[in-house]
Amino acid sequence: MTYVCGWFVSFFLFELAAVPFILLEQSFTVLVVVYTCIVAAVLAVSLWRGRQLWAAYRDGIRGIREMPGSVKLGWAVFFLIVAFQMAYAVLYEYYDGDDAYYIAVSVLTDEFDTMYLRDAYSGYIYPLDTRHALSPMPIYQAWLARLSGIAPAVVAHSVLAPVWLMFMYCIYGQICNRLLWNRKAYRPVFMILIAVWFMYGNISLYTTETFAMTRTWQGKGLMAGMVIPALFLALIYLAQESVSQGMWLLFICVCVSSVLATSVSFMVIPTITGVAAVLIGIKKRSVKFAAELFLCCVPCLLLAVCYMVIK
Amino acid sequence: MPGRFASELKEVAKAVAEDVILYNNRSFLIPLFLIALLFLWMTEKDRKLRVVLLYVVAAAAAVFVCPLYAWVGMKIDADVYYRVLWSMPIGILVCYSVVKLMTYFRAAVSRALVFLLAVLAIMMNGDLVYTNTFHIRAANAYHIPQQVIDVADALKLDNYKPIAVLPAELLTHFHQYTADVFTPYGRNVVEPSWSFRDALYDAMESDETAYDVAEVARCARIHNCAFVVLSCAKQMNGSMEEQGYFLFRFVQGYFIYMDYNYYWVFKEQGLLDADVIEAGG
Repeated sequence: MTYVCGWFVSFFLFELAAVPFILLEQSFTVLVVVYTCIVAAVLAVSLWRGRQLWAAYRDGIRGIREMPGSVKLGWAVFFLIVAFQMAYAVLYEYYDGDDAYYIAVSVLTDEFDTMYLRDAYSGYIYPLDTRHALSPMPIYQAWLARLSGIAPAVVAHSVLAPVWLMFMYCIYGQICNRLLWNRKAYRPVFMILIAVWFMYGNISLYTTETFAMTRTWQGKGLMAGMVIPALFLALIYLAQESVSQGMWLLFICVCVSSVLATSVSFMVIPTITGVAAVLIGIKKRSVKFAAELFLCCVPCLLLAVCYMVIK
Repeated sequence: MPGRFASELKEVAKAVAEDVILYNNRSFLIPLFLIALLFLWMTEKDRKLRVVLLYVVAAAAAVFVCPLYAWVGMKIDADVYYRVLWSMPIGILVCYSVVKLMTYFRAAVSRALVFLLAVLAIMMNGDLVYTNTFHIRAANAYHIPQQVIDVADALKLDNYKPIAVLPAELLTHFHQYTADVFTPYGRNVVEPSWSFRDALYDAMESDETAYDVAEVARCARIHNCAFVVLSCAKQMNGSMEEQGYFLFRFVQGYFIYMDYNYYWVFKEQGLLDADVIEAGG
């Protein structure tokens, strides 16, 4: 769960930090410095405040020994399938025309130190691309490229493709823990089914599974494969009787991360959140809870208004 | 006016149905989703799971197919409206239903049978992503064709970012590798549905077997291209040398020509690398 939250917190902070810099046409280097400082500060605080978690991880690893043999076998099969998928993502390339825009934006950003002020197809100077500026996933990848010294295309295709695939299964793993909280022995069964489901989910060009498996590194892949399941994960936690502050924060982070991923989120996230607010509010018989839940997607709505205004 | 709006809603409803059919293709995805939803509706006892996985999902599905909502959504972007279907956690519902079904059987053999049947059903209903899509063995860590990288490396100059015109097959990958070379156009001109036209692109690509060299050279100069890259798979009607170009390099089946006009200007300004000066003479 810490790993899942870490990614969403980093996306959340990036969206909040990057959008003003992009709209104000500031240099990419300034954003890199500011965002890196923010992330470093959050990392330092998290490592200090969460130092007791290491003991929990150790206990978790020790718990593997106590698992029945059939459960161990189940997990081994699941991890083998995921390892195969990750290896395939690195060793095989998938042609997707949209990379000609997204990865080119990362390359241009890193090279010219400007954000969305160059035409991705020619490299020429261009007015600010407001259509994409509010969902700056390519800039996030340019940040990763600048920080690591690895080319943006390599970051996207050979690093993020397998890493985010694992990230996706971590989210599903957390959902699995919530669904089967009292049936631990069935958890690997669920995860194997999910892994097979994704591998055989290419029934059309448009499915969640197609986007998650073939365009893992793009904002659309992130939205389909990771953000939406994480939204449901957070909703399951929020539907419990007692909700921790951390879960509220995760929900807000997921909502804002969806905007970083793709502009489609402007519609989808408020709709799902609105429906969930009404229904969970009814379950809890609390108008206050419903209002608080819906307020979490207000950043999405504000960005939607910005999108409409500057489009 | 209300009549016009009603007919618009009718069109939108049709478009939503088309989106669902395209999404589902010829599989049982949507029926499987509905079966799983119904099964969990009857069997799930946990109230929080019922609310999130059943009521929220069913209500959201109803909203997304509602013509009025879809009308608003399609006003924003009709081409990507199908993406609202991503928010249906179909995989979670189906896989959870299978696990739940397994728990109803006491014998391990029966449970294993349910599991195997479910895996088989998923495999037979779906298409393997690795065989059904355009996956090829990666030539490098960039996942970019090697000829694109070699051509781009040949075109790069240490002290200047030149403009180069490239054959269509190199365009979509080129700027994923480098921003050190400008191009007059990119993927925007390759996608027919985007209706982006350019005389230089027409000169380069209109004839699939040969280049009209004089026309290519004329248009390339209008676009201020210092380099022209031509595929050896096509014939040349005329000679680039006659048009005032020299052959700089031959890389991975591509002739890279440089315009002498730019050569002399760049040379005078000290912008050219040694290998270009040597090739230009």
